[in-house]
Amino acid sequence: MMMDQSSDISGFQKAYDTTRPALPGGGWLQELRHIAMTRFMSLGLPGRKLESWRYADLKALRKTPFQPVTKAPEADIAAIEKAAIAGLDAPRLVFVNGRFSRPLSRLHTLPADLAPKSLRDVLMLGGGSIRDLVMDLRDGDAFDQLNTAMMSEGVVIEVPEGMQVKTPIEIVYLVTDADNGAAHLRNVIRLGQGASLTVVESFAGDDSRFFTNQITQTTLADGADLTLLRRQHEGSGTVHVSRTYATLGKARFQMASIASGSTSTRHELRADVTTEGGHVGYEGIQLARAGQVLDTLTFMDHAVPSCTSTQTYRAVLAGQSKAAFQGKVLVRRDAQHTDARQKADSLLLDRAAEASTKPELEIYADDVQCAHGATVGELDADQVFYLMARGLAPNEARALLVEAFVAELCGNIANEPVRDAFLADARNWLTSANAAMDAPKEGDQ
Amino acid sequence: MSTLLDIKNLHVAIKGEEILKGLDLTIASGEVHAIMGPNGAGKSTLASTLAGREDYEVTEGSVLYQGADLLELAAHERAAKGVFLGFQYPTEIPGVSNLNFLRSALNAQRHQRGEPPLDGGAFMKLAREKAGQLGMSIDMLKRFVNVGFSGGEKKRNEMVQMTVLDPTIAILDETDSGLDIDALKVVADGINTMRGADKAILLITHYQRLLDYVKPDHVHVLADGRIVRSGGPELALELEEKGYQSVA
Repeated sequence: MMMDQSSDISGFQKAYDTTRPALPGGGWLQELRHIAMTRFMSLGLPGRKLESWRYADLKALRKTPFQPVTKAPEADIAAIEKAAIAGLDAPRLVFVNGRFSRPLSRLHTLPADLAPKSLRDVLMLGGGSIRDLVMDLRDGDAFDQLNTAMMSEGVVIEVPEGMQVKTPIEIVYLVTDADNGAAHLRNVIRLGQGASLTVVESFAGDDSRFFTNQITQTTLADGADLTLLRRQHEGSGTVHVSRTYATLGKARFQMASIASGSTSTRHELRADVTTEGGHVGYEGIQLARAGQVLDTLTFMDHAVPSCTSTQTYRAVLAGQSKAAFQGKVLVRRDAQHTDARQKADSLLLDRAAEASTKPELEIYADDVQCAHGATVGELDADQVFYLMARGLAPNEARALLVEAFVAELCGNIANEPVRDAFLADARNWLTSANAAMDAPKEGDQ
Repeated sequence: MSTLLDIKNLHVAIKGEEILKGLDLTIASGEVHAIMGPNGAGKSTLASTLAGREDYEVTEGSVLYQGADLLELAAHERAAKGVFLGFQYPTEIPGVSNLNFLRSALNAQRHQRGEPPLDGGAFMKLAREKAGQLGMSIDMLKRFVNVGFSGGEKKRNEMVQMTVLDPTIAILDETDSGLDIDALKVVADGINTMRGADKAILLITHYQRLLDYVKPDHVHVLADGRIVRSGGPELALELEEKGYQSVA
């Protein structure tokens, strides 16, 4: 079995071997990469027998030997504007096929002591602080290893103590004309005491066969406040695997994501609250169309008393699609007075769609409040009729109801252009999903 | 007066069970009709069938509206042609504000009629005016459709929708139920503003009470799926006095 698996992924070893000379970082990091790659090859890609990966679809990774893109990052500015958030006057970092492009970015609006750095530059520069910067993932799974071995681009943002950054920082990842390409991205976001920041990421692309493999490490000191917003709308040929690590003190970490992209998407949020009074919030919207598999996993690790976590997940599934949510909450023995809440609702627009939700609560403290709920259902026929009786066509009625289902989540985003972008994403998705639903199906008269 | 709605020998079944069993009713422009009857007689089935509820199966008979076959139209097409159903139990729609709902509905109807959409300013002016006449605040219009509304507020909201959409025929299914006397007067005022030479109202009610404020031209008794008796306003008083048993 092991042999089969490693032969499945031999393409990754080849990709690593050819890319290695170009990977940034000196001796210590080279060794770290080497160890990670060896671990990856022995671990293999996680299979469906592994509970936490049973819903994911990694077929394409076994078939295609995705090579990190080496060609220079070039893209049409119009494609970048289309992927970015309309009307957002913010500093913007642009990655094309996983490669940072300074000319396509706009950084001049940032205060000097905040200036995000390119991960590649930081790693090339070397120095002792790198060991500090790169999270220790040696006990992590295959994707942690693969990312550690191959990471070459990303952003490093360090917000100094007490700095409240009012304008969001925007990161755009565009895939264009990059068949069989891969991007192994590593972002590092660190907030000092009392610092605050909003980062909004937009992923978009054409239908290239592509592999996005991203890890975002975030560290929040006491009193810090980080909002991480993600729009994942990559093209239909993309396999997207990303995870966000949050390590926080008595701080506030808030994440909201909307995903409609890729053939196969796996996103994880893994949060460790290490100081009393910390809070983690997650709001995830998944919009799945025929042929897509959107898989989400969260893990809230409560190790100390009096911390809170809230998770709200909503999925809308059209056509023969799959969306899964596995939400784990671990409340360790010392974590008394934890307040952990989780709610997952899925809306099926098609009988062939498949939604899976699996709350997983592991509680070892006795004085805690933990709640979870899950629903899977279809659009309410009474609501559809009510809207139709007032003049809305069936597709308009469906669109309004689905938009409402989704809008209840992104309605909380404070930044208006970002909120509008989330809502527009949902509307655009609906328009195309509706068109697919109204098109005559095979076998229809 | 010209015939607006002409129902002939209407048979309707829900999940195979026949509810309406040969109903005849003709309504002319400018008229107000009231249909009264005991529970289970088929009053709400008639209202929903006319509005185009798909799971109500018309097995026999015909309905002409403005001289054309109403039954071949989908619910939203009927709405655009001026058919309005005031729901007995208005549906709650979390996440959709009343304003968004109303504007979407109005512009969907206008689109079907080939009229340009009403812009935000013009719509707000209209909504504010109509809601104001029915004692509904702009704050309530900003809330989600019927979510957290009392029974009376829901019915009042139906009337706001009706006056904004300005239909040709309003079919009001027990709009008076669940209202206290003050709310009843407000709702009745709303209905009375709908009266006009080119419009018609079909009131479906259990009680005579509403008819004190909205004077019908014709009163019908619906029992076991058919109109069993028709008369003038005095019929409603007789029913109130003697009960349905005496006439059905």
